[in-house]
Amino acid sequence: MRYFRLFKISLIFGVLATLVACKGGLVQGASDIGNCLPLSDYFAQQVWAPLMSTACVGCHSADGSAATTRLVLQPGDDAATALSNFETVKRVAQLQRDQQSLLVVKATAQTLHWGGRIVEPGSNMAAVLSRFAARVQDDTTCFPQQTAMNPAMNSTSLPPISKCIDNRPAPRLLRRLTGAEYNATLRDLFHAGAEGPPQATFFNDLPVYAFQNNAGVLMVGGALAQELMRHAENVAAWARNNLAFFMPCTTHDAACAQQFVRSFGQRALRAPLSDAEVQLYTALFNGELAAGDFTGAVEQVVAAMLQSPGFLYRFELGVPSPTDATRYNLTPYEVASELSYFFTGSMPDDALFAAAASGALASPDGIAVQAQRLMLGSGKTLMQPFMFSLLKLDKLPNITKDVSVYDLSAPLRDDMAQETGAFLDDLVYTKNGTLSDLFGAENTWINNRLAAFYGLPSPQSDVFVQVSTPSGRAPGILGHGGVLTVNADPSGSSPTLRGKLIRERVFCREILPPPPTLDTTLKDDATIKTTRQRFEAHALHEPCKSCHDLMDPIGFGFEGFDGAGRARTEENGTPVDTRGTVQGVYANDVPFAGPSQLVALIASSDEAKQCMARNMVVYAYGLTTWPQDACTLNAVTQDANGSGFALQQLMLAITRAASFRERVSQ
Amino acid sequence: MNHKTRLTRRDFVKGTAAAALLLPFLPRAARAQAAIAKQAKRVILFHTPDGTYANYWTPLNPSAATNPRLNQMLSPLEEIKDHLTLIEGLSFPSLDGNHPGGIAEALTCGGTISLDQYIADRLRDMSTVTKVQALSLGVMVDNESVLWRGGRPTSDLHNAPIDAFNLCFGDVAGTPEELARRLGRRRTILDAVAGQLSYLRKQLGNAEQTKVDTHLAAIRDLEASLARGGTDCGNQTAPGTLDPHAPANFPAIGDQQLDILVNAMACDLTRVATLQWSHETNGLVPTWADASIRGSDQMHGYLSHGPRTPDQVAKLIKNEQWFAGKFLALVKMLKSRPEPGQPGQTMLDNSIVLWTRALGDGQMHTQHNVAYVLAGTGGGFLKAAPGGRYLNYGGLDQALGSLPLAPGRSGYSARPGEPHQRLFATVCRAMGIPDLRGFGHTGPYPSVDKNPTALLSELIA
Repeated sequence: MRYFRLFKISLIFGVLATLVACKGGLVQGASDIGNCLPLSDYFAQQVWAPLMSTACVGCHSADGSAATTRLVLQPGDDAATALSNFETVKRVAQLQRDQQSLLVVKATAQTLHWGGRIVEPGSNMAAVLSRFAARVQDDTTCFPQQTAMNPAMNSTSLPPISKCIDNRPAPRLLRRLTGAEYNATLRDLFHAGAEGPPQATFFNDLPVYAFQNNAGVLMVGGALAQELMRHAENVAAWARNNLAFFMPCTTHDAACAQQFVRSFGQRALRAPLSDAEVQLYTALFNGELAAGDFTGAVEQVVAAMLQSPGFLYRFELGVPSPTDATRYNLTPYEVASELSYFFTGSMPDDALFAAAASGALASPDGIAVQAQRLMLGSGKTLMQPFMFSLLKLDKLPNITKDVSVYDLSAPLRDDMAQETGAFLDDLVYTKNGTLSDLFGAENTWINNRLAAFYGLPSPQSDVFVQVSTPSGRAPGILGHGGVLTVNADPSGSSPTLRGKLIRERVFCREILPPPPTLDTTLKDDATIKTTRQRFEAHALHEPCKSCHDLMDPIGFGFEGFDGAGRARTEENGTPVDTRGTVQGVYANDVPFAGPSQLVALIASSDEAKQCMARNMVVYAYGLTTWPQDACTLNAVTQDANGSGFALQQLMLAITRAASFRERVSQ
Repeated sequence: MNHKTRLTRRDFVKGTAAAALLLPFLPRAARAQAAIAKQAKRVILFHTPDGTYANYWTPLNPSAATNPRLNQMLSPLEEIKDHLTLIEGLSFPSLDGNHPGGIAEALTCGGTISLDQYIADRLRDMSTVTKVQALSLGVMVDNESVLWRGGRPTSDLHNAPIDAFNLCFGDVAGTPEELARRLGRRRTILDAVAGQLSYLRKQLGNAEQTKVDTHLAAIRDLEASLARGGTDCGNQTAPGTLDPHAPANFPAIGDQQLDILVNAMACDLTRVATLQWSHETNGLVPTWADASIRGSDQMHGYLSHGPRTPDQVAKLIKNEQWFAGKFLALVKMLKSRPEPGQPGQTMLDNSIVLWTRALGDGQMHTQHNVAYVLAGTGGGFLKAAPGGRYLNYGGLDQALGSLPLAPGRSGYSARPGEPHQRLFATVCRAMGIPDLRGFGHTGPYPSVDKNPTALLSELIA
């Protein structure tokens, strides 16, 4: 019972053991943690070593009697040989015979196997083979599947990836506008730019995983309805005095009232009004007109529209597909909002509404035209907020630093954010850069103040200018001062936090929180001179080692930068050591010497590409409570790969995926 | 649609006068129940992060049920001791829930709705409607709210005092004509919005219906609150616009939120309020608690996680004392305000202030032995004793010997105690809520056969 409860809790928070969690498995209550080793490790330890390296390889080798079968193995009992055979065995395990894996039915001789019965049906080894085959076919079996019906929120982890079966899109959704989207939408709705209506400050959208746009938690509950009411009234009062910005007519008669209700209504609700809605708002208008005047009636209708679900939520509901009873096709107006909030963080512009009205958005080609236009249009608001949330840079203005160690003034923090912002805009929108460039670019942006802080030669400019990556600094975005600052302790660097960032947000590999009843503190003594030495204590013993091995040795790569991102070559008179290893991401541990090798590794990594695709899909769809559809992820990754994984192509690939246009009922 | 909720204070008093006549003949619980109806009750949840450390929290005379000798962490509470009940040894359903389990269960007890939201809903169902049905305040809660609704953490929480102020006091003023006209316009719009939501609801599956239901309930609350009418709260001073995210403002923001909370309650704009201080594992360095606190080993999370060196423990104690000082300030504010319309009573007399946490021991990351401080009797429903009270419900969570512990936890001793839901059930009863329908964990607690809905009778007067 208690374990069931723990299971439920782990479901709630998505402490999802699969994604490689801790190698050893210290998780109390997870009895089959051994089964959830990374699949290659599971194969090496449970399948290859005890069984195949001895019982199969004799015949199933290049010069054996089974050399012409689908299973040809390399002999040897070391880990490298096991890995070289992993892909071969996986392919056989994927084949089906009588609704079982071919690997299992052959080994147990349930079908013709010239070698006879190698494994007894029902034995432990048969169970191991079945388990291996099951995971080959669907590696989500190691963690609980979350469904749309599960209201529980997963606050810290990526959603799992579902099996790719049928291009299953996301469920039909209501996505409440975030505070930022609400304010941007009001700004654009009235065409008033900087002179627009008062902005709302009362939203407190809590991040789920990395992003604040999670559709599962964005609701109108409790006091928010009251605040939205009052804010709508304030905006309406502003509107009353600023009719010229948005009124389609000036005659103040019944015809003008109709025109206003229909045209402003379509913009506010982001779709043409239904007859019932026209009636509703006309009645509101006329009721107020009877009691007051035309402008008062406009005010009342504006206040009503701003509180309507059509304004407050992005509808992704669709209409039933004529060809597939399980699917709903998003309407052109829903697609318009989806495109516009994804690329610009605000409501559709006139051209997008026109494309919806003309039916252009009913076709993938029409969507592609608009996506391209919006991506490069004046909005261009996608990449910065996405990347700032992902790399935790949004914490930069307020992260606590020990002022006696790092006196980071607000302007300096702002400079750091501007460095990354300028870098991203240039890389993505000017240079059409790739994921490799993001992590490996040999240039950055700098101004006098930031150069002085970093101890670099002055660029002789107070505004940001592009420079080649200065000697002593790391290439790419992970070497930016802001990223290094937010992923560090208040008075020091932190190999753990930096390694955790790269592991979780760049490689999409999970780390479990420390188990209960564990002292998570590092001991300190006089012999310890460097941060690295202190953190190396993690690797001395369990229960720290198995998890920290997955983080700290990555973070060591950035030990040449202090907790505020300044380069350093020594600590307390001892040279810093920036060698490290990436463990538990690739089939083998990958050693690197220094940050340049580490970022080069990331820049060329397929894992980083897949992970970036996952993150951006989560951001685009506002998800964390549904498994991410593997078909969509594969399609997006392959599509972006066609261009060498240019980040523009990644954004566009998401809008080209079938699931951009479809939803399922739950 | 609002007539059911248009209950005037006079109706309320009339109904309760009849109940008072029966008073001597009723059993104890019913008597207490009748006492509740006499006067509006309030509940305030005061939530702090990252557990505590029993060695410096448990009273120094733990076997005494009354007049506890306050341990260091609670020493600032000495002057309000007569009003306090210290409670230890309560457990959450997930005993080893770590931070995630703690956040999910601290106020929900494993259900879908947090105690504050639940009480607010039940009060509304019993026609107790205020301008802000549940006032949710935060001090730098930028993650991991313990306030839940519909199985999800709610983002309906105010970190900026100015927003909280506007919510409470924003539009209570105006001439009768203006107010009537505005009320009419608002009702018309809210009716329209409710109609649109109901229409939308029919087109949705279950998961999204929950979202619409939440919105509809909020609209219903709003309509009921409008029907109740405005209240003159006198001149309230707006709190200014301190940056609610700048760590240096933590103490000032906290003080402003406490002021708004008490002022809103004094004017009966709300009867249920929560103040959540930051969140679990926050990166704040509580320099305000003591000048010696600075640097990475003193982040609040680190202080509570260990190491438990004398220096670190001293700083942890300082930090807990700082929170205790804020709890003290809250209780004293309530005690200094006369209860409107009740000569001789203070607001504290009719309030329940509960200091809650999401972890027991901050280093162990468990929920075997969670500590609570309770102040106020909720209009005499809860028992008070001169010098205060101390109750221990059996949960234990203790490291023996040196850390770190090997897997298998040798050197670690733990035992589950009574469900913390029983404390919340008692608070609900004190607020006049007759049962726990729809709240918390149902069925026996995991691994310990305890009934989570039974009241803690020791708490009841």
